[in-house]
Amino acid sequence: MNKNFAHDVSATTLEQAMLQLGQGANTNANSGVYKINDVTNMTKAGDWGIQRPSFDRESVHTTISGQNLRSSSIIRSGRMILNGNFAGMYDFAYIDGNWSPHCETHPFSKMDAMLFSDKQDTHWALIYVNGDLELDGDLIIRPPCRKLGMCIYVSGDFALNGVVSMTDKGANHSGTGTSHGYTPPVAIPLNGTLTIPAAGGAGGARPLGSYDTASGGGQKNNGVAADGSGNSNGTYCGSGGGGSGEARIATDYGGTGSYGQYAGAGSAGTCFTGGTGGGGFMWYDLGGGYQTGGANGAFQDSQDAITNGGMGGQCHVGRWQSYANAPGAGNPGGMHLKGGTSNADTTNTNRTLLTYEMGEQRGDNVLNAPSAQMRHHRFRDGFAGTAGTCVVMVAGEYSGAGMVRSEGIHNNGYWDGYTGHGSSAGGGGIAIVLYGTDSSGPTPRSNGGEDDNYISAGGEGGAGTGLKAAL
Amino acid sequence: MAKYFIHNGEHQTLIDEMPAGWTALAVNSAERNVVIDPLENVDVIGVPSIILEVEGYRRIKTDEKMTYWKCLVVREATSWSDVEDIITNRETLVDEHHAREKTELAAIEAAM
Repeated sequence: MNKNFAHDVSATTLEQAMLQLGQGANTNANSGVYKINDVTNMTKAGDWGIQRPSFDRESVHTTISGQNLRSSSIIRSGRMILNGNFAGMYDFAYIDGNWSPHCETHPFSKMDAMLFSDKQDTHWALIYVNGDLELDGDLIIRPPCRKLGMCIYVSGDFALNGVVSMTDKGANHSGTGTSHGYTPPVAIPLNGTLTIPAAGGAGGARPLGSYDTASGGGQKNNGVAADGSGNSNGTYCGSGGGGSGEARIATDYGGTGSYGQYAGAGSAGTCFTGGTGGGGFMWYDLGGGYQTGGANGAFQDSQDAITNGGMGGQCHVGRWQSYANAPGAGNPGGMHLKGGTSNADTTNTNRTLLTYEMGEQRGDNVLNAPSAQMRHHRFRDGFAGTAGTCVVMVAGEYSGAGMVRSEGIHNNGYWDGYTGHGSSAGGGGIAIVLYGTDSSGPTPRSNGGEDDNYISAGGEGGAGTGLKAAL
Repeated sequence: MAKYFIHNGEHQTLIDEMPAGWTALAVNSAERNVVIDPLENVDVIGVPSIILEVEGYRRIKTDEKMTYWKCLVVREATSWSDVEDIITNRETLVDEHHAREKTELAAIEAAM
């Protein structure tokens, strides 16, 4: 193992951490991750131990005739401590010199291989360009898997005509479900002036749906947006909360007035992800499966979104009267629960999980909706992903006509049957550009997930933070 | 009735064309929180967007309407007439959606 590879970094701010990691990184001959065959081939060719002017490493020998090996530029990995707090693990990629990737020379797979590891949920992707960066209009810098965050430091100028994105790449740092590990949310000081708060906007609370609060408003709660500069809720520079599921009862059979049922709550955003969405339902009637307010328990709990970027809220589809249900956005998106013993069974007893893997073909559909009106039967992964955290630091001039973004997943609004009732959206992420000088560089986008503006669906995601400011 | 246009500083054309009765708020300003936070069950989804009171149907089976606050993202708008079109189109689509839901629900009940 290369002695330079394991490397913890401790700094007061993310900017200082990037500078520490970048300082002298180009003096490490051959630091990085190699296969033994690479070392053998490079040694034979006289390339091992040679000071390399650039870490794009495109001239690395390969066993494939006429082709350069696509190698990672990641040269360090370790723990990142910011202002005394553990802020997660990181992988550090270093590009020495000016870099102008274009789509002809840097297809997406090559960009991914050069800049990112496959460490999901537990690591930041830190990228240092020791020079100018010019990103071609056809290119996207976006991790291939979920990350705690992505920070790109450009020591020169950054002409951004492509896309830098953390949309759908927020971490599931909950340590539950498909999460690759738990990382507690902490404040992320960026540059001594701006700090990403540990907690973002709140998720939409559980809504009580009844016949009397059917359409329009009242049976879903939107996620809360991150604060403006007044920081009135302590979430300035943070992410947005996820929306609740929708709770909707179509008819007055089985109870009216205060009788109703709850849909799932959305979760709050964190420093590593936008909030996730709650599971929702649309029932033909209450049919005895009602609550009269304030109810808790497994049924309601299972509809809630998992915090810290976890799974979206689940939805219950055990009743035929239960149609047009939909889960919430998250990592992964919420799933369907099927098979209660009766309409009044709201205890999760005898309920089983209908995974997305079963939702591939029409025959897998067990949602008990009339066939002519069943929902799309192949929407697996449709609710997966949360907006992540993206910070770009440009010591020089920031310009271009591209975009930096980290946006929440929208509600689903299918028109091939009952429309998108229930589904809830994810909160907006964090996309911040800090510049030396600003030459009308694009303002980052961090929209929360929307509904379709007219379809009654679950709660919408609150906006995160899209901001550019002086470094 | 108060109506708000939420921007991030890159939508000056829309601000310049904004009719009377609308208030422009920068998404990252402290003023945005002061004005929008007190509104019931609505928050900023993104930019550019508008926040206003809209009408929806209270129930599927009836035509009773209700009013509530809504944030509409208007990212496609390049002029204020585009914004007005988005508002009008939404009203049309809400009516169409309601009619369809009523029809579908009636079909279910007929089959029961």
